[in-house]
Amino acid sequence: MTRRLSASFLPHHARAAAVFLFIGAGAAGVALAVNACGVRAPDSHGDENLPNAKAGPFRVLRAGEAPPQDRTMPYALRRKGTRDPCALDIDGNPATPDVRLYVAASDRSYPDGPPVAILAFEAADGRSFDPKTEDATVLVPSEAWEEGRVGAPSVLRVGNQVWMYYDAAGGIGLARSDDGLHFTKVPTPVLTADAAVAWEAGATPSEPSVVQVDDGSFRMFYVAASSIGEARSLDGERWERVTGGPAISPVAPPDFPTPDADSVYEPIDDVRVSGPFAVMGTSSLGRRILRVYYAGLNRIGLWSLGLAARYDGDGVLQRAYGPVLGNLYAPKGPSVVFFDDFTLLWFTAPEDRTKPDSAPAIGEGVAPATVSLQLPGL
Amino acid sequence: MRSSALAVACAAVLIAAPGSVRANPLDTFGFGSRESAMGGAVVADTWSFAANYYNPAGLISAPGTQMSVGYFHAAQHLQVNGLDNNVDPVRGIVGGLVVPGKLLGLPLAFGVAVHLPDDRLSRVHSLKDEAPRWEMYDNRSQLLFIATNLAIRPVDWLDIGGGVAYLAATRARMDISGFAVIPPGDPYDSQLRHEVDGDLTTVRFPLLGVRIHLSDRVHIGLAYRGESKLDLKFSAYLHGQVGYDLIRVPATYSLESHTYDVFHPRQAVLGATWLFHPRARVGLDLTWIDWSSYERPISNSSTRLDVDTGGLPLVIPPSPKPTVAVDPGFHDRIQPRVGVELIAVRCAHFALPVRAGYVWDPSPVPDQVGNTNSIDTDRHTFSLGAGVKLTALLEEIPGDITVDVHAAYSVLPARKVYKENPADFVGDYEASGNMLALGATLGLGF
Repeated sequence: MTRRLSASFLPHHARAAAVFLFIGAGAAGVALAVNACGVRAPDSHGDENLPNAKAGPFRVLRAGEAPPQDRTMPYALRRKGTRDPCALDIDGNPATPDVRLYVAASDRSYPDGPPVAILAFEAADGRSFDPKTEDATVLVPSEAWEEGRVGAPSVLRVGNQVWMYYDAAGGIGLARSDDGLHFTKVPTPVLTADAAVAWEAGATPSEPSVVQVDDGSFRMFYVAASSIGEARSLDGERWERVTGGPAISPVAPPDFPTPDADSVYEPIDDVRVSGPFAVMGTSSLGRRILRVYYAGLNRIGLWSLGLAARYDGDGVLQRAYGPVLGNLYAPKGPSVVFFDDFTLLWFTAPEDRTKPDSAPAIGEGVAPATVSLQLPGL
Repeated sequence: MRSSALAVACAAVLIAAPGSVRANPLDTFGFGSRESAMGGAVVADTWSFAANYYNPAGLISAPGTQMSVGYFHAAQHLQVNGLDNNVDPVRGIVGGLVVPGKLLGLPLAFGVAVHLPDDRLSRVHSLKDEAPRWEMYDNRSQLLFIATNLAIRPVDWLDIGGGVAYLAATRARMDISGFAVIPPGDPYDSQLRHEVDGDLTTVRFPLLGVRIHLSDRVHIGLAYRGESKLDLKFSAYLHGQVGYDLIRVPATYSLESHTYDVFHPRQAVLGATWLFHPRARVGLDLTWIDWSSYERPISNSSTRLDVDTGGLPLVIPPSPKPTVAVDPGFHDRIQPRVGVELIAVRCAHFALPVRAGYVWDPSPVPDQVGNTNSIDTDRHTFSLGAGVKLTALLEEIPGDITVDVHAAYSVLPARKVYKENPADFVGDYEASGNMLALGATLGLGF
């Protein structure tokens, strides 16, 4: 039943075996030739369309990603004394990156001075803002409590209106507009210092960021002392602080589990947190997320951008595992808009990166970092 | 005796020879058309070149010298959030040789088998811990496989087989010296010299198998496949000057990176085949897979930057924290396989077998609620196949000519991942997919 190879029939099989081996060896040889004889292996794949919340980390824009071609990147707007950007998706359509960028501005003759106006610049691609825009001013000090300064705008769409929260000497103010360009102020500040709040140490709240959550109520994140606090409101005018301490405060994360004696791991925000920017988003599986971007200062004097978030509108904010933008540009005052394919970030940065004390300007970044932004028309 | 010498000689040469690579496209897509069509439920029922993978003891049942060659192509349509991740297909030539004989009166057989990818010989892909990747299908399937085995039948009811396979390990070092220009200077003005030193070594691991013939109709098989992993080490050392214009600062930078890639866990297979009809058989295998030992292809790296500022008020960034891979926490899994074969047509010189199989491959990957993102789902594979067997067709080929084909369709049902941290940069996602593998094998028996 079972045949065994024997010397007697080897010659008969030899021809067939030779033909068979020739075919097999030929096929293997072709494969080896493709692999090893100067033909480059095809590019590897498998990393396309992988999940990404598009919430960071960001990279700064590269040369050529915003017109004009000779624009110094990553500066989206270099106009002396501009800072604290807040971006608004003009048409509210995440498929089109048309953005109006509100910024605080100091007197151009004194760019490091306090902000004395809020300006607005527009770009259909979210990048090509024209710093020479005429009549860019949309808000100036006019109330006594403002003491001649307005800054740190936080702009959101509420119904058919655009609301702007801003900080001034006496607290946080509110102005409303039908077109996003002409604002009418609420005459008194909507949030002022409260000596009863111990952690605020009597500081006047500043750098507001307001977001409307799904039940229609509002949440405000603001800076007091070296932390970020939270307040809630049903109508956007009457605010009540959330008790229990700051929403985000400087904290050193625990030591790395296996510390290397020769390495120094520096947290990004163990000295101060500031410049909150709150935005609502939705995860890929439909969970609502309130994200708060902020600037953090660490003990060696480096600023970076961080992220904390929570599901739904209320609760404790959890920090991200790492910064959303590193300290290379000493970024502060972030603002973020989510579009369909990418997320744009604007931040305050020294106009000369090598001189941290140089006048502020507006830098821009994008997430995911793998995205390449095309110029309009290309 | 001549064939025995040939078998022993082949085994000795191949077992001693370094440089081969063994990996696991076979775990995922099977090996050989007959065996793949039966869902791989053949640990007690294989005798062709595929026995080199499924159970080396099966080699002893080869009816004569056999040579086989074939080709297979597996397309992977793996999606996250409804978007295709374009994971590379796996394809290549499969083949092997079985040479039975006798040594000192004992039945003996030698086998060698190969899976040769036709687009690249191997691929390794080391990523950051949090980077999403299809853990099982991204690059674990992209390697050359070679195995060599010997089998003996000490008593009529017992077959024993075993062999050795190899894994290539890489160690490399790069030294850089010179002057590196940093912004605001132009980095292209840097004048650097580099030296690269690479070394390939091999790691052996075992393949073992046993078959017990309870009767003419019932056989039991047991196989063991050892653990293997690709050990990648890389170090870089930069010593020179850093700066721009007239500012030049002596600096040294060192990087040490160690990665395990293409991990292949230990496996133990217990199975049985029952010939319940003269023309039909059914096989059932259970495979224990030691996924709890899994090591992710994450680089364990450390860097150190030393700069002599000479007292200048320069801010030197601190050395980053060393990266250490997180324990992936995979779970061991039992993988059931079932396969049937029916000889639909049989006459003197012709037979037409048809086959079917099923494999349930439960995912060993825990819910990725934290910082890691090993994407994986369960996998259900349904396979079909058929063959043509021509016996004593030509005088030169008194044995069999077989042509087997198979198709296997895998369904990866949707798996939703909800992140604990709402600030997670990857966020929630849903993974799903399907695979289609097609293959054919031509066999020649003497």
